[in-house]
Amino acid sequence: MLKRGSLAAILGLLLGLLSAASASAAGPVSCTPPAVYNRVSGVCTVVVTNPGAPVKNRPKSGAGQSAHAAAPACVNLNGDTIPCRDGESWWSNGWGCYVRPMKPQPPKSDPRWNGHGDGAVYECYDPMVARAGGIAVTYRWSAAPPAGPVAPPDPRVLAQTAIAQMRLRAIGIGIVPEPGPNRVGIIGMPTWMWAADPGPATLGPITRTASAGGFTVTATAKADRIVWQMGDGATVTCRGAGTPYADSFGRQSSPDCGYTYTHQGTYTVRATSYWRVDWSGMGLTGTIPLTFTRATVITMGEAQVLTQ
Amino acid sequence: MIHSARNCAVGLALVAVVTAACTDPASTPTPTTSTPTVSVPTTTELPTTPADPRLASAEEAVTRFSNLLDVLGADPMRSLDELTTVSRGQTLETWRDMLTNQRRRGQKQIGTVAITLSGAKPTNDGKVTVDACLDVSKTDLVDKAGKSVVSKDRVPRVRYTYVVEQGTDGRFYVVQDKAVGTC
Repeated sequence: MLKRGSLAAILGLLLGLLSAASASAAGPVSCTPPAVYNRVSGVCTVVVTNPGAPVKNRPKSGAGQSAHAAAPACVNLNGDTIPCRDGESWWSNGWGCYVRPMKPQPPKSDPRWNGHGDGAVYECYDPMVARAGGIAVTYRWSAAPPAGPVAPPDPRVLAQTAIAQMRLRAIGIGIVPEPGPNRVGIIGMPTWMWAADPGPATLGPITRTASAGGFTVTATAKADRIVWQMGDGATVTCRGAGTPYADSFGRQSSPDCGYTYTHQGTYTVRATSYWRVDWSGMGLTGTIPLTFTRATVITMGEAQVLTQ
Repeated sequence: MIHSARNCAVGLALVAVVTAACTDPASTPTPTTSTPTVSVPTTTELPTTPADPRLASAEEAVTRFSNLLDVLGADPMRSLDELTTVSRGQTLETWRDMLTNQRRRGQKQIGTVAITLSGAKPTNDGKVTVDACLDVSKTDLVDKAGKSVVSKDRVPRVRYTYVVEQGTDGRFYVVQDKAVGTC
């Protein structure tokens, strides 16, 4: 939304556009950016992708409005104040049309995605084109909902709010041989790794919702895998929490998450959990990847057999 | 959908025709902000047929793009979404806005642009540049009353440089286009 305080900035923008256009008049056929050459009309034309409200026709505070609280202005490209809503659609001053997410969203192979994989494709209804007798609806990709005085919140932002409520964290490392001074594992013996504190915050699944302005987004997070960097260049990928070691297992290998060192030394072991957060709401869906890492240090030694 | 009547002349703001301010409902929007000057014609490059299939595909994309602009400029009932099949990025945004603005004013193109390709070459970043000469002498742009809005100083042949890139879908898209002189 454009504020009164930005009047000077807008004026500057328009003056800049004028100067750009003027500059092109003295140049060759190639126009001075942001002016673009119209090959048919033969003129340099400044295409403004985010014009906001024209300065001279900016709506003034009317009866019942506070002089200090300017009402949201929905202004078409002629400078006329128009309704900010049209059914589910909201007016975008930048695009000059009523917009809403396309329902359902087209497959990602659709060229209207413009090669993108994120964001959404929005329907753009242009009343001025409709009045002129042309096709009034186009479909445009955008990373976030096009801005407007009554535009809905960015669902990705709501998804992040929901994720923050989950308080996700790295797993507590369970490992044998245990870390710490005077703890030495024996090379050749199996090393067991597991999540010491399995739960919704460390492995998921966990679901939370976030709302704003009457819009709600629901996000579900789940750890897809835990990748263990063993410190000697090896990595082990485990699905699930792993199995805690107990003395009763003796020299058995872990059934689902283990490793065997072949050289003695001190190793920094890192456990990175890879999360996938799927969110949906406001007619849109998306996926957010997350990672959390925790590290510990273990020591491996060589068993010595003493004989007399 | 909202179909409220507006008296103000259509389509003055997206293309910043700020000199034709929307104060008089009866005024006719003037489409120009400036008239480009004519530069000295350069030597004509002979069209070639590139052996590299990528270059050939890039040239085909430019030809399709140019022909599509003719179609969309002439027929307001053709969807501008068709632009997404052959252009992306700045070129897509620019021409979608340009054609939208023409449609808001009720302007239509008459005739077609003749395009002569004059070479394609790969760039260091995996794209292809294509040079072409556009002959616009048999085209016109008219308003709702059928009156031409073409600049009297329009040059008949314009040299364009296009940048084309291949999408992950294997298709070629015009991502930049620029008038660079006459031909």
